[in-house]
Amino acid sequence: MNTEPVRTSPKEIGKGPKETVLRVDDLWLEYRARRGMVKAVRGVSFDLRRGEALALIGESGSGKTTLGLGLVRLLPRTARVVKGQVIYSRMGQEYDVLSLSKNDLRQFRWKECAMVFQSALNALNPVLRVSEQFADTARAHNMSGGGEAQERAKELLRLVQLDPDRVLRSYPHELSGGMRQRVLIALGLLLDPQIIILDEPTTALDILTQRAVIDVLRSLRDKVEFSLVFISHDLSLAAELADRVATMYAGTIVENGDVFEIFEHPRHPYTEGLIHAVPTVTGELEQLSSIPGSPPDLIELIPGCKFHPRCPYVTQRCREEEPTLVEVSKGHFSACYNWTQVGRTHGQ
Amino acid sequence: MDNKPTLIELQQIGRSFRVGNKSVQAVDGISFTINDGEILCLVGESGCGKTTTGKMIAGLLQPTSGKMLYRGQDLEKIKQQDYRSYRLAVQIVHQDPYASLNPAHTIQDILSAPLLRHNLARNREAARDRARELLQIVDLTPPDDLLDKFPHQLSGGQRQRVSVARALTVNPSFIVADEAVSMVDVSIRVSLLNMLTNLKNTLGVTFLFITHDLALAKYFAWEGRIAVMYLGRLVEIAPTPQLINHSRHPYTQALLAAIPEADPRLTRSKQRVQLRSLDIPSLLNLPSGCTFHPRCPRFEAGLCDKLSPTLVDVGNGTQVACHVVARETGAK
Repeated sequence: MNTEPVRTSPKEIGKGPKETVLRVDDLWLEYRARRGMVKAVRGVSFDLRRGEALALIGESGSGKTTLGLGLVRLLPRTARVVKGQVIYSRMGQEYDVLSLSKNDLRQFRWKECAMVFQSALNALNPVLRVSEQFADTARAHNMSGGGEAQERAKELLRLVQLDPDRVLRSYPHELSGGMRQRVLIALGLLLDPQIIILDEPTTALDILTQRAVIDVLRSLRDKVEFSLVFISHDLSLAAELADRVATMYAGTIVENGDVFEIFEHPRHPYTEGLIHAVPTVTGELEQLSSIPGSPPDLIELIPGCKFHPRCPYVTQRCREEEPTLVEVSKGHFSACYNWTQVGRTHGQ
Repeated sequence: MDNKPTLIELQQIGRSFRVGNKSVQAVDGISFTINDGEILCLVGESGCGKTTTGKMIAGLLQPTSGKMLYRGQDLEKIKQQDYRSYRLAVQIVHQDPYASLNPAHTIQDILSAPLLRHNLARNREAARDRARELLQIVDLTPPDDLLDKFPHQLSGGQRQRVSVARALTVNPSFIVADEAVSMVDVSIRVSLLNMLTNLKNTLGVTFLFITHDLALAKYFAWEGRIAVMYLGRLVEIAPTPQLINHSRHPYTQALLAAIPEADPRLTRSKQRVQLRSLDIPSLLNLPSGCTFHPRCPRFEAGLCDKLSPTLVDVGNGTQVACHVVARETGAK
């Protein structure tokens, strides 16, 4: 795959608005299933800059969670990295996460890059009080679990709008889903990582709780500097929180750009289709349409563009060759041969 | 809407469950009517009692208090035969299409069973023909490709269509759809909703659509009504455009303001409603008076924490259970 356009050349680092903290370069991941190899991530490349929030959007089976796990090397045993690099940089130093030793990897995880998983209940140890979970994490990273860590925990819990005195004494089951999710976010920030990866941070939460988590994330970003990658099927979460949005389909990024640009001028038919499939609450009734057909099979991949059987702009070339990302306007990339046509059918 | 006959009427329906040695009031004295051919959406957060209400309406759960009328007849006193016709007329489509279809049966078996059981098809041949028709109605074409498949061979969206087809086997006049599209991918959700809307238009099916997603409720029930539940009680019920654009109850307003929108400009400029507390009270220990009072931005001490408000008419087809709103509109 030609991935040149998304890459930032070393010369640009430090020159642009913010330097790159994470660079994923032509990453391919697959895992074994009974029917064959699932090509879950196919040639993904993107950059994450310091302080930036990137949303990885896609439906179930688009490879977004596998990609997230791949970034911190938490893939299940059945998975393997076919090729590619995940380059992490800090203070001018670069290292490939995929070739870190076991020990360095332990330091990388959480200290440099924390991940908050989908199910907040299962991510916390049910028999430990919240204060002990903080202490545990601190000790695992050569910090004392006592005074300093507890002070930091209190501060972070206050930042996520929880009452530290009550929450630190509680067991996970004594907290509501939204509180647990916020505890996890605070725990993720404990070692002051550069990057936080959130997998479906608000999916199982009620509306008002979801709002609280979103507001907490937003205010945190104002107060603490970290880069955020969040993985979600929910377009509205991306609209709320992201600076940049990358749409995933069939294991690859098909569009990547500024959040306003993506929502207002999508240049990939799949992104366009998703936007027109989601109703808004505010205002009058709008016309919606679904994307015809069904999600792609990641085991037996079809030739050409993986979206072509569902695409309204399909041409012969799409059936034969798979398009790669090209820059369609400044900082906006689309993997579609017919991107100039996208946006015409809905006439908005 | 007014001249349509009433299909279902709930009068102060309640349902409690035993949890350990305590009793939990999952649904507490709710009343509303559903007319023939109408779409009513029941909206609320998890634990508000919307599914329990749906199950009671579908006859899968018995209310522990109150009265339910089906076409004017009290379901408690109804004759065996009439009860059977009510159970046939009201069908439910469940949330999880992975759990609601028997994995060991083919699609044909799943659809034929009710047809044969209720003598709606003379023999297996006729049942297969009818199953084919039903699959066409739910836009699963060509039906012959699917009849001999097992549920695991279908996608989530296809399974949910099979669930709808199964509900349609007995020619119901009323379908309770409990979060019927929540587990389906976004890109195909709308086509499923449109298919349901078609059933309403072509077969005249009445819908109770239960969802936690107000945007979906708005899209599906634009010509119907939305009822909002909170902790087992009905707090507001109104025609959909009215509820979406001019909601009256502080809880509905908070919900609408909190929903993130799939439009960055819109969602980042939305007016927020600041709640007094983020904690959701436990059903085991409900607040006194109006159960929303510990969180309500319009809370008035001495009123809201003392008296439980009842639903009152505030005009424009809207009913609201809020002391403050009722006083403002002069409703009794």
